[in-house]
Amino acid sequence: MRITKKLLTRLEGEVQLKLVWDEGKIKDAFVIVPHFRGFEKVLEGKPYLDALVITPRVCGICGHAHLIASAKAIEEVCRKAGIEFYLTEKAKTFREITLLLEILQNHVKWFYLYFFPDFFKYVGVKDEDYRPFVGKRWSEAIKASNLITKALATLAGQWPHNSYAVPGGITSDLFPAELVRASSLIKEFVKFLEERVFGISLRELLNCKTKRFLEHLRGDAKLFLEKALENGLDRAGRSYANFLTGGSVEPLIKPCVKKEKTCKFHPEWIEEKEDFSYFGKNGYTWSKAPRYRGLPYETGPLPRQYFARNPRVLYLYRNFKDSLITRVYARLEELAIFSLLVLEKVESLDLFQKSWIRPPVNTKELSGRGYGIVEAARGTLIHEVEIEKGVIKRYNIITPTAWNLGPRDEKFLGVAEKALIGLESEELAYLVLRGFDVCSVCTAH
Amino acid sequence: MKNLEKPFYEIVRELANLSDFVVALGNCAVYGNIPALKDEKIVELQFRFKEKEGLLGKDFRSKRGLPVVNISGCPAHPEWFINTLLELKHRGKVPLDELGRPKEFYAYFTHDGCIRVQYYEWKVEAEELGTKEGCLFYKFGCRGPLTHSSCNRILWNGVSSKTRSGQPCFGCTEFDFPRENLFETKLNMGIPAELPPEVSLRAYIMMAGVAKTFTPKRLKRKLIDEDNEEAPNET
Ligand code: SF4
Repeated sequence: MRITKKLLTRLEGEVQLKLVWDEGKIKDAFVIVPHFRGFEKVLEGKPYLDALVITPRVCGICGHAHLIASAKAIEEVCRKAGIEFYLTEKAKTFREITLLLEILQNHVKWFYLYFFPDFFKYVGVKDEDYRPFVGKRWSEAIKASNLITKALATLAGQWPHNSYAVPGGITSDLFPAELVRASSLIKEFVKFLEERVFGISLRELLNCKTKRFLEHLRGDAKLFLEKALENGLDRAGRSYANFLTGGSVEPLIKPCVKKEKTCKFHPEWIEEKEDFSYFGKNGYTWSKAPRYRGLPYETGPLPRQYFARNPRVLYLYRNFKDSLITRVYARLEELAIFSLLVLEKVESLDLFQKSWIRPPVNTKELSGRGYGIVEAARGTLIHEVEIEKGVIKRYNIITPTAWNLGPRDEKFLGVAEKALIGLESEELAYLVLRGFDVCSVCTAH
Repeated sequence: MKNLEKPFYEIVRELANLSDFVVALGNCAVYGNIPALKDEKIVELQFRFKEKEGLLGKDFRSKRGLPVVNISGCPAHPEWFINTLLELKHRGKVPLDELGRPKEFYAYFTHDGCIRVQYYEWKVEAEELGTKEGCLFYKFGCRGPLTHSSCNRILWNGVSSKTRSGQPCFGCTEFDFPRENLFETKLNMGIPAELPPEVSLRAYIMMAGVAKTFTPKRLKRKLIDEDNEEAPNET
């Protein structure tokens, strides 16, 4: 038996992959997150509004999702305490827009900067255009994702690490001209998607309801699908095919879980197992292992698009299950679907509504418990806060990457670990891991 | 960092001794910051909060003779970082403040260039969040006049900043970030408990008195009247 260890870089933080080989196949796999910062402990004892500034700092790539989760968790505490307040449509829609924008900038970076270089190496394509740092497409992708972060900053002040969502609404109060600027930035991004990623108009793509999309597609999505099929990625990377989406993306996606069939999602049924994290006795990673009714679940674009009944992703899923090809393509689809959705939402905004309505709450007296659940780039992000007399007593964060990249428990391997078993090449193992969009700083915060 | 062959800090120390310049990027590397709050073992490069120590020690100089160059901030501003690197490359030096930060970026305050600065001058407070009008220093905890940064001079993502979008400055370039009660100004008999550096209480009270007495009325009106969408022009 042979054991290999390798540090995976070009991602937010570092992840180490330990593989146990038997007769040329992976027999066991350990996804190891070696860093830990202790955000939940830092939050204890702080006035609860401080969470809005501290939790975004958990992650430099999905910090905005942490902000919205914090704001929602606090709002749920207020609601449960019987405090009546509401958000204007404008504030709600702004939050939805900025969350989606964060997903867009993430996916495009993930595809071109993190996934594609390894993918090209694995499938044996040499193309100067895609070469890290120097390739033309590489820098186009960075420029495209900058269009989105610029739009996000226009709405929310800066990206990353703003705190523009506060209980009761948002802090920014845009001029119509600023909104027009944001929307034209997003439209420019759509142009990049149409020219480079999909090679057809996004409307055309979304109108393909059958497998004919495979003939219509051009661009890098097509390149990916072709090469992936040629190289057997439709059989690599399958895991449990248990899907979980705890948040919603209005109006397309509602909270759901699926094992054999699809059911409603209840956050109270989540349990975090610690045995194989450094918090427990057999630890090898800083991540905990979240389980829903005792079982591991995958979260992220694939579950979301499955629940949204996206016909193209469903076609791949029916044929290739939860393999690497389906997982990666689902992520690409979100670029198309969410950019059109975000433009619709921008159109629907009424800027003359109020941004913020002060919740009638005495900040020194508020007590209670609440969940804030959002869909972030990598999947469902859950914040749970317990407040006592205005002070945070306990704060618990369950990140999407803890679901996907967390460790085993006494019965089940983690989702990514399971996806690696049986693979015959180390390169392929890294690629499968990349398919989950690895981020170590979230996995162990 | 657990489980790697060589401890991370050893790698950093070895590299630092080989380097022409050492640059710390972001508040964690600069001051320890959030991870260091509850963990003694967390090491930063040359300052622990504001005390000079850290992994490389207080007397550390890189091969070209500079202490660690600190680009503080959570997050650090990418443009300040890149420009510092370029300046080090082309000039071989850069003027630093007492916390090792390039003065070009940290001699300013967040307050400099904020579009609410007239409201600050005339002591017009923002009563609510989510408005274009009013200054956030008096109620909502803005640290703009006390925080060294160029956030409102070299904008974020090229377009905006926290205070421009109605958020108070949280002081994220300073060693004491995150302070407590970030959305609330601590007051002492109605006056902000912390005044901008080198502003005496006496000076502040005198200026505030004059400003409040003579506040131009236009600063009390909305910039855009919401009902008719026209800027008011009566005097
Ligand atoms: S909001 Fe803050 S930065 Fe802006 S003028 Fe007021 S005190 Fe200065």
